[in-house]
Amino acid sequence: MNRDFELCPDADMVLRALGADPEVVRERRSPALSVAEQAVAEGRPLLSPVVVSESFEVEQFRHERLRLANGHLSGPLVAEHLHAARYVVVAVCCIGPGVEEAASSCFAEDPALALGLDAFGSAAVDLLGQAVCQLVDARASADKERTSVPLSPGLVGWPVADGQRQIFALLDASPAGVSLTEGYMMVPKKSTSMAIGVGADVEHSGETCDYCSMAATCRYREEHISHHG
Amino acid sequence: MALIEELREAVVDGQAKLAVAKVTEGLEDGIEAGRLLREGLIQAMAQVGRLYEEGEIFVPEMLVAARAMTAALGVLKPHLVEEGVTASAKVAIGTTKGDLHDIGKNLVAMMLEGSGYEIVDLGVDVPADKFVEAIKAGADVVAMSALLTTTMTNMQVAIEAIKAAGLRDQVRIIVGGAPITKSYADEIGADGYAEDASSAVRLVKEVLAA
Repeated sequence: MNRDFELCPDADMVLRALGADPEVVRERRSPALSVAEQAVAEGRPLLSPVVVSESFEVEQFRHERLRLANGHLSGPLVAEHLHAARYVVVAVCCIGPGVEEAASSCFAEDPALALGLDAFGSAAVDLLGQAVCQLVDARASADKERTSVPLSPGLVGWPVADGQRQIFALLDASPAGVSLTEGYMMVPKKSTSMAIGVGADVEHSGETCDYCSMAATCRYREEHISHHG
Repeated sequence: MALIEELREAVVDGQAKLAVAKVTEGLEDGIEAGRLLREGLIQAMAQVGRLYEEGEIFVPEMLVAARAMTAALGVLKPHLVEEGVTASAKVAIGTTKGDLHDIGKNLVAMMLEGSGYEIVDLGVDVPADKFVEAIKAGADVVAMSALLTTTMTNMQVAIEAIKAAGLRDQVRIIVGGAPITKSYADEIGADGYAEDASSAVRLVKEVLAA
């Protein structure tokens, strides 16, 4: 378990998580900017990032099924991206329950701030996921290997129920305080789970967003892409 | 600029304090609370919805407008009661059983309240029988939300429960949420599907008029 992460989502990230273009919001001097700034100020002290992760050697790949040391990952998306992996890093990342609890408790009084805090939480867990990917990338590069695009349950070709069942069977996320509901939803909500393939022959094709069922209409993705060029 | 126009502008711009001040001033000037609601707040939120749908404003700007509307509505409410102004319809809203996501549902509820509807917020993880009870308690519209493919199937469970209770003809049912599509709404027998909070307001008007 790793708690050594410093996450600093800023107001622009909050606005992007809400589907807004920060530059336009700033130009308009919209009160939405102060909501985002307040969400950052109130949300940062509540962050308690934690990651549980483990590497699993790939024992066999057959019929869209990757057999690992202690379990398996399967499905069309897994087959497409992880078939050439030497090992797979499975991770569950969470920013703790503080931010979403604050969002819930202030909703009646200030719904705009509540949604701002929710967006802050989304931006923070996104950053945490990126940080994990960077760590896996660094280790792979040192070994002259490559990493796949990170795969999360719910992407097209890896249904939520299948993916979460497989990941949580491989990994005990309880030390991080993360559990699954009957509907395979992670609690705390501001959590993400992923599998990354590592190996010399692994191809990093596309981006995670390319495999999201909302790729065509997602405003967050549009803003994210335009921001990162 | 007329006071009601200034009130609309304050709401659209998300200026909560100014919106409250304009409502207070209007009441002091003897303008009926019902008129301030209809011509001020509801029209402002309709404009906000249009601007959002036309891509002129973003979700957070819609939020601050809704916050300004809510603040102003808080001042108006006791006066609306005195005048006997009632909501045009009652909407029971909730996230389906097994789903704990509430942000989208809350946003829809805010937009609907700003458009003059009475909201009964059933919360998250709402079992089918709670929707049935809400209809028995007078809900004209049931709005259901789900964010996961694993929980959206509970929308159909709720609709079947409403049918089994013999209440389907008494209520309009609308659905929404990230994995929901119009074809899924049709498949489970909902009356409509909205892709965002703004279109949910339009949809409620449409299904009530149908």
